[in-house]
Amino acid sequence: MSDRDTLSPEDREALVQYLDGELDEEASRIFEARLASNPTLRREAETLKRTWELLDYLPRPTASETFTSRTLEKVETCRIKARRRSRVLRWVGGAAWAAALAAAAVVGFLTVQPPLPPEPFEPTPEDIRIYEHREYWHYYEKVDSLEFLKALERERLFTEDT
Amino acid sequence: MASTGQTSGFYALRDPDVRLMLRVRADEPGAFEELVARFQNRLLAVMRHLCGDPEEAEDLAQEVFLRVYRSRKDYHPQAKFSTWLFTIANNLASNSRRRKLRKPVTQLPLNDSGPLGPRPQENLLLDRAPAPDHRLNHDELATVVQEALAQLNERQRLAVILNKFEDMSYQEIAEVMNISTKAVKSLLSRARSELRELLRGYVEMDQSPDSEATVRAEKGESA
Repeated sequence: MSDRDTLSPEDREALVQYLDGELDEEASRIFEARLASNPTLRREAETLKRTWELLDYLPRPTASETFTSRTLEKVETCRIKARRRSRVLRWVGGAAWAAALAAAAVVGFLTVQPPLPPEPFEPTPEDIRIYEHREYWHYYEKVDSLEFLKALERERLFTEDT
Repeated sequence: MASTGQTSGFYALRDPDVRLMLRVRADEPGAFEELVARFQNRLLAVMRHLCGDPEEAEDLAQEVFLRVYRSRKDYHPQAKFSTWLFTIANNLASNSRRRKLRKPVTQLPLNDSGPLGPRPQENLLLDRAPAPDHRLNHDELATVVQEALAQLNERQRLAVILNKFEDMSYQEIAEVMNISTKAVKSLLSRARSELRELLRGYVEMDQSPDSEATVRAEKGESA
């Protein structure tokens, strides 16, 4: 059995927390006491610490010389686009307002406009004929039915010599 | 609302980067340029380790700055500025990863012979167990460590980079990665164990590393 097998996952987590300075003061004191009395834990701590230090060998990439200027150019492009977009939006907004106003004006005009004059009355030839025979109107008062009078007319009862 | 104001004020007083970002928000001339200059290398380092490809890392870093600029008017400091910046970076890197997964590129297996096969230092790492029989120079060791880091999964890698190079606490890493601090604890514990296994043979060799690395390591230790 290797040394590693004697440490539980909780021990490892606590050890990493201790190395990262994430334990509070009380927990750190307790863990240091464990470290002092446990050579396996101490060896593990040392190995993890040295492994972590190996990461210092990692290359530290630096931005290319043109990185800043290219980034600022992109930002400037973005700024110009945003300005253009806001101008277009303002224009579209204005146009929408104008269209809405025009629509409201049309609706208003249609709403308040006086009604159209009624179509002029166009009497039918039959009506004219009945009208011409004014002397028989009193019959209309009696029968109270234009249809009946029209029927009489169709029977030629209202002739010129009647 | 009052507490948000107090939080903003607290971070603005404490974090000079927050003060700089507030100047960017106010459209102060030169402030954004100063912000880019201050963060470009740090951001690039994280992006490079996350996506591997230097060109893609630069593109993503630029996109991060662009997003920072676009959302400057909505910026209200709730944490350290770098936490906010790396949260944006992580989101962008995740989106880019997802896009790549949707359009997979067929890769030839690396363990084949030929021009795409592993380089000598990668072979050293693939062997894992035994230590190399000669002392590696700084560049060789750098490649080995880089390859070891690349073998961690993306979440472990990000947690390691933020913890090691950005000196972020578990709480800050949790905010950037949108996970719990418990999950960060577990990620870092597993990542360190894996790195220990991957670099087992090289730990002994690193008794007296090059001066630059020693200085950095000492700085890290004192921090």
